[in-house]
This record gives sequence, C-alpha cells and structure tokens, in this order.
Amino acid sequence: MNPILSAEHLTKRFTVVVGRKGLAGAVGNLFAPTKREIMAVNDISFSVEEGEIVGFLGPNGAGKSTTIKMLTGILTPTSGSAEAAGLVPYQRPRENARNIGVVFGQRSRLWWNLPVQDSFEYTKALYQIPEGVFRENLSYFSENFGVSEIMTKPVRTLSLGQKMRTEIAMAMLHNPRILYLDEPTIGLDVVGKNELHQLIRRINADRWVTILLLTHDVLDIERLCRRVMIIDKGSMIWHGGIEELKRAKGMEKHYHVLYESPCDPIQEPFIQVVQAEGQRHHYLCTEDVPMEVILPRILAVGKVVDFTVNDPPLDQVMRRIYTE
Amino acid sequence: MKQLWDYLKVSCKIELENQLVFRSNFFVSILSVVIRVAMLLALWSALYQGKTQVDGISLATMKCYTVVSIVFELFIACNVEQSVTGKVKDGSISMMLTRPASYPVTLFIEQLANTFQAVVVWVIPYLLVILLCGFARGVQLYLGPWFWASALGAYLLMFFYQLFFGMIAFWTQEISGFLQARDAVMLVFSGSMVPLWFFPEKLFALAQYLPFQAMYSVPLSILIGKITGPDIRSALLVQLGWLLGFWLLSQLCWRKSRRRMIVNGG
Repeated sequence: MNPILSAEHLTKRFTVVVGRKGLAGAVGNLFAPTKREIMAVNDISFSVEEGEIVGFLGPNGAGKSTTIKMLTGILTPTSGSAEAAGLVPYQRPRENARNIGVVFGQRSRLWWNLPVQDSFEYTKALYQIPEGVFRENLSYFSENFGVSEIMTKPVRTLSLGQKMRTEIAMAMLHNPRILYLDEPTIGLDVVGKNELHQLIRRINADRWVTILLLTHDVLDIERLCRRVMIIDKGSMIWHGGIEELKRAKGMEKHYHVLYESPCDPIQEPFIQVVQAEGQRHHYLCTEDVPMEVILPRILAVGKVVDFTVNDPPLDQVMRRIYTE
Repeated sequence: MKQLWDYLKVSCKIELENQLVFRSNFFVSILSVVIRVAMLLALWSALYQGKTQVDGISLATMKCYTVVSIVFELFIACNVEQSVTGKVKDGSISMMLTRPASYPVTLFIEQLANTFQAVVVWVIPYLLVILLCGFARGVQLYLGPWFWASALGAYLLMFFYQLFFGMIAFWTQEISGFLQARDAVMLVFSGSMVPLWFFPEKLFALAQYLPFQAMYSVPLSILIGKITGPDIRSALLVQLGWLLGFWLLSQLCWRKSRRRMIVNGG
C-alpha cells in the first residue's frame, strides 16, 4: 500500500536577524543586521499509511510547526520533498487544501460573533461542498457529537470543548483525507479531553481519515496513537510504535512483590531495592534486563502471593528523551 | 467562478450580520459619522466668513464636497492591509494559506463583501440624508460614466495599494511605524479633508504625482464638476497608471513572499 503522507529528507533553513542586546545593539540592527541561518527542520523522512493516527511530538521550538507548514503547503522546503494524498503540497497548495483539514487548537476558523451555522455555510461555499455531502456530514456530526443544539448559538457563547468539537466538525465538512490537529486538547478539562478523544477516534474509524496529531499532552498520545514521531532541534529522534518507545527509552521498571512471609531482598547488581520491609518488596530495574532473568530471582527469595510490574509512564519516557 | 460567486454571497451575508450584531455599537458609529459631518460643515462655514466664493468655489459646493467625500470614504474604505499585517503578526496567516482559494483573490472577495456591507448600512442611508437635507441643492453634480469609471478605478487602486503594503508585511513582519507616516501624508494629499485646489501651487503640483489624489480627489472633483473635459481623460490616465503599478507590485510581492515567508508562532 502506498503511504498517504510522506516526507523524504525534508529540510528547511531560515535566515533570521540576530537581535543584539541593548539600545546600541538595537540601533546597530537597524543599519547592519547580523544574520544567521537556523536549521528549523533537518533531513526528516517518514511515511504515514492511510487511516493511521500518528502522534507528532517534540519540545517547543523543535520544528514541529515548520514541518506541518511544509506538509500543508504553506512553506516550501529548502531541500527534500513531501507528498500528501498524491500531491506535492507546496507546489499545489490550493488543490492540496481540498484534501486536508487543519485544526489549530489556539486559532479559530469560526466567526466569533455569529451562529455556528454561518461558519459552516462559509466553509461550504469556500470548498464548494455539494449539498448532499454537506447535509450528510452535518447530520453525522449532529447525531454523534451534539453539534445540532449549538448550530444557532453565537460562537462566543460556546464552551471551549464545544468550540473544539465544532472546529473539528467544520474541518471535516469537505471530507478531507488527511486531518492535521495541532494541540486540539489545549486548555480542556478532563471531561472535555475525554469527549474530544472519543470524537477523534470515532471519525478516524468511521471516515477512514488519516490523522497527524501534534500535541504536548501525553494523554492524547496514549489514548489515540499507536505510532509516534518525535523531533528535537529539527531532527527526527524517534519514529515508531509507542510500546517500542517505552521499551527502548523507558528502562525504568518497577516490581512490587508481596511475599507470603518476611524474607531478605534480592541481591543483584542490576536490581535496586527501593523498599524491603517484611513481606512487601519494591524493586527497581533501570537496565534492559529481560523478564526471564528477573522473574526467577524474585521467586527464589520467597513464596510470592502477589506481583505487579509497572511500565514507565509515557511522560517519564518523554522527559528522558527531551533531556537526553 | 461559481466558487468565487458562492463565496462572495456568503461573505456578504456574514459581513452584514457581523455589522449588525451589536446594536448599540451600530448606532454609536452612525452617530460618530453624523458628528464628523456637522463639525466639518461648521468649520467650512466659519472659514468662508460669509463670502459666497473662495477661489471660484461656492460655499454650497464646498459643503457638498465635504459631505460627499465622507460618503465616498465609507465606500472606498478598505482594511486589507490591516487584515494581512495583523494575521502575519499573530501567525493566523497560516490558516488563510490552507484554503482552496488564492489568498489575494480571497482578500478581494472579502473586500467586495465589506463594501457591500458599507453600501447597505452606510452609503445608501447617507445618500438619502444628503438628498433630504438638501446638501446637493444649488450644486451641479456630474453623475455620468466618467464619474463611475473614476470611482471604480479609485476603488481598485485602493485595493491593490493596500494589498501591496500588506504583502510587504511578509518580509518585514512589522511596518506599522512606516504605515502611520504614510497615512499622514495620504490624509493631506488625497484631498479627502481639504480639497487639493486650495493647496499652494507647488504642493498642488506634487499632489498630482502621488497616488493618493487618484483615490479621492479625482472621482470627487469629477463629481462636483471641478475637473471637466480633456482634464478628465488625463486624470483617469494617471489613475490607471497607478492602478496598474500597484497591481503589478502586489502580484510580484505575493509571488516572492510565498517563497521566503516565515510564519510566526507555534
């Protein structure tokens, strides 16, 4: 199967004016600006299959946005290439726009003072959505995500959660094949996040739309994505499944063991004893030691009543990757 | 074409609705225009000091010019430049660039919708007021094809002029200081506040070479009969020249800016 979204050695360099400090520096900048090249995106390659939800992560300023802007056709890469739904986005931005939906969590496409339906009609005209498709999508979103009761309300009176759902519904009106979601859950409470996660999973399953999810929220990733791409300082530093990521990067595994009777803890160089009071033992292993090595050691010191292994939480993994 | 027509229709509807959302705001802005008209009329009456004519222009003509120029300003009003620079500054330009329509074309449609709103809400009511209050009494107005041609030319010139400066924002990110200075020059040399024929000779000559007079002074002067005969043709040619110039410049800037643009914000 051909990937729906792909990038080959995608690179973007910007020339920026370096600000000098102080008044003298500011005046100096006016007449003789010091320029510097920055590598915003450095040789990134990846591919996404149709129907996937892929998480796209990285600390602030890592080059996520620049990559997305090249994929959506806003920016032209310095070198390398990208392809989205069979088109080169930055060469044919207008055709590309029909294939994609874009939702920015921090920017709105809705008309602030007007009822939601006006924004929908505006989109219908702009994208030339046929009446039948428009009606069908409208009823789909009304039935599933309660869009119907807010259609006549001015956008400014909606809650943040309602607004985000409306934004996503609007981005889906023209049946895009790829949906770019840039921090869709930003500022939402637990309930709002949960509803949005359901919505995203639902449209992915019902519409077979490919989703690239940019987020800082590890919960979004855990709930929605099976695969992630992580970039930092412009370069791809990880690309693969979440489970593999945890295995490869999060070697911290916690073993909680309840023995039948008090016993001495394990003595091994690769196991740290966090706690060993009476029957309850808590071991920590920070190296990549396979289970078949650890398990016999645990069983050797006493009779086990209960036993749990905790994987490292994803946010811990992320923190480690970012600071590495 | 159908896309643009549908888009224009829905934009007109939205612009009109948007204008009428807040009632008190709407009435206050009507009041503000009325106050401005009243002040300018009082000012000209005082300046004429009972004389019936100054430099061959009667007080009645002058009053008519004042009122008509304010209405014309409402008609020609354009916020393309502000819209583009604002969006470049806060980064929301990226949302405009992921639409299935060319950005300059989108801007023109929005401008047309804006004008539609201005004509319905402002221009038509004021024209009625002008007729009812008799501001045009005793003044020979020329409403022939040359006037409409010059008004259309002024409208398009204004759009491409603003589009050009908006496109510059893609390079410079921040030009508001420069734009303020330019607007001060424009206020004087467009003739919208003080008619150009009251200018000293040298300033008057200078004004003829600037694009600003082609936006306000030319159509208004044709309307009240200050420019007539062969002068109309040369005034329209100058206007056409500026129009083509700014059209070319804005297109050039747009092509170039797409390649070297930096988008602000995450």
